[in-house]
Amino acid sequence: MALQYTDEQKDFLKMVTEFADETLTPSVVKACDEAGSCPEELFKPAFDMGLHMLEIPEKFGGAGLSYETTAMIFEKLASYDPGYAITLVSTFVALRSVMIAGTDEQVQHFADIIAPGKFAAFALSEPDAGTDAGSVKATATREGDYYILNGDKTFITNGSLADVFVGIFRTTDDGNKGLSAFIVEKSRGGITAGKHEDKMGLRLSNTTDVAFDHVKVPAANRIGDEGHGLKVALNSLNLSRAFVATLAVGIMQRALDESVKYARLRQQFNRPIIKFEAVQEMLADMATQTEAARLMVNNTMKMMDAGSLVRKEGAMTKLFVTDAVQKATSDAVQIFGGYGVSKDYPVEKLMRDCKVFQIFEGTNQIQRVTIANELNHEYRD
Amino acid sequence: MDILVLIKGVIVPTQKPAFDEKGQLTAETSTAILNPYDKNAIEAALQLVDDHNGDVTVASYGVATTTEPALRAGLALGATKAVAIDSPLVATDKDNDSAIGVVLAEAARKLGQFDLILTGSQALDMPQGYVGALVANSLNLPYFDNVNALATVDDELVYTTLWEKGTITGKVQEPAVISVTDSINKPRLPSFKTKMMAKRAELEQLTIDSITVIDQSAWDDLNKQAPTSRLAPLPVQKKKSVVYQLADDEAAVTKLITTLKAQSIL
Repeated sequence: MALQYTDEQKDFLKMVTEFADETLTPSVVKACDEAGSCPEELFKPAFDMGLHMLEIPEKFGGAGLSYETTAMIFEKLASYDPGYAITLVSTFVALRSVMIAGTDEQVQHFADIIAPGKFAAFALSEPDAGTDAGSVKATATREGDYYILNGDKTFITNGSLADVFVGIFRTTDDGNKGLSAFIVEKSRGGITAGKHEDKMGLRLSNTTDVAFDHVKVPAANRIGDEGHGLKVALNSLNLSRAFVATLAVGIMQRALDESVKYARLRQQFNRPIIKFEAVQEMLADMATQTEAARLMVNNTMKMMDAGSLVRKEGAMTKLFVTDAVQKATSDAVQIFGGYGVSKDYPVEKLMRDCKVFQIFEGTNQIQRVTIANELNHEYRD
Repeated sequence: MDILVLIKGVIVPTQKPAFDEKGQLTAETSTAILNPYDKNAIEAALQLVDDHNGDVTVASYGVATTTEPALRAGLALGATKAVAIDSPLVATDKDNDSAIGVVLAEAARKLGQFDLILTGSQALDMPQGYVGALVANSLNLPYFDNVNALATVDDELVYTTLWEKGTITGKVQEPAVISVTDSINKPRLPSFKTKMMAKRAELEQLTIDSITVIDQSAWDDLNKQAPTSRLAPLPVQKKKSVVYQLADDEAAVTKLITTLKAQSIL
């Protein structure tokens, strides 16, 4: 691989490999994929290792790793199961979104909830507010020192698992400027998770609707000023885009590993199929794309470590990697031939798992809009 | 409950070992890891401390290149303190295990009062497994060998050890020295947070420059001992290959069996 890992990074990769070999065995992953859910206890060892707080600063109880190193660890984890990885990513991205505009006390409060091993969720999307995040309808109405939250959120990762949410609610009718972000603890009452989505992929990950019904939160739970909610949401999405791209690299690497191994073993016309140029082309493209994707993610992570918001780079990385993973997994199925579509072989799941990566955290269509807008901004007189 | 765990840095098992002119493993040229059996001892200590509060101290004797990785791995697993032990008194240095056992006992005495001293049942690279016995003997403490279960029952520490006809179970009178097997528990994985903290942690240095736990004459006798063993890599055997080309299968099988029998393989 083109990336040069430090001894420390190699050490961490060894740790996560040892963890995943033990926890995410093929039979466990297959059972969760078939069931379309995952037992919460399967995350206990991840919480014990602190995988949900890797890049959270030590003063808040995290391990204080860089984004770059965290991404390497999550790429490895996603190669075992991206649904498992995204459950943990969603938890720390929710905490990170508190860090974007919240006070140290708010961050510490949020971190104290999840540190011992609890899930968190970011609640933005609504039935009528997907790509158009500014059209959020769920409301937060001020009543003295409290806000009363009402409304329905949809496609919430960790929806029925989370003990704490970061939610985006409308505080005024002033369009994009009327949104505010809140920390919402499940213990406040009035929060109901809907049915778990029966998804084509990432089936291990918990995705539900979440209904907020007269949830009373203190005004001290508001993250940043009133009207700054969309900014919190968009900055949080910059971060999560980079991380979903990381997970997609993990899927690509897995597709490559499985394909090369299979192509070396599978014999047709008295020789392994890796000897055929048509197969070689697919493998070579897959390897090259994986390498490029990994480097792109690595560069974005380094920029984030340096304090950049990666508006353009995050969008470009998400766009490139999550498009590339579609071809890589589709070719993996192609190389496996008839066995590729069988659930007894590992590659059909990769193809199912990766589709949503072009959709969530902003569709790849909207990424192009973001990139173009940034270009327009860069080149103005 | 305060527990001291005596641990060792061993050469990475997959690495080709290097030997010096005396036939000893040269730790300086090799990458060391925490002896896997000592991980079980640390885990046993952490589990007891989880139940009873207290501290787990890890200590290791030797050169920094082997003690440091072992001690930092111990801290990453959850030990509260790590001590690197050295001594100018050990005449034949690293190959005199008997003297090292006494030095470890002396170090244990100097480090304070411990309710238990634990070790792994053996080192991966030197499987004699007598450090625990030497330490217990030097400190006049009871010794429980190859313990594969350790639990508190009604405020008493109960051990179980395997023997060929079953198990032996008894009570441990503290303080005591216990060596544990690799079947006693499944060592935890370190957390990323403790791993990061362990990388930066200060390792306490302890130099043993006088021996008080045993008589001077007994120490002199032990310390004079020549190395009991000399290590040598296995001689490389030249591989011979012979190709027989026989027309029919039956003759080929007969030839193969005759050849294998001639070499006492069958």
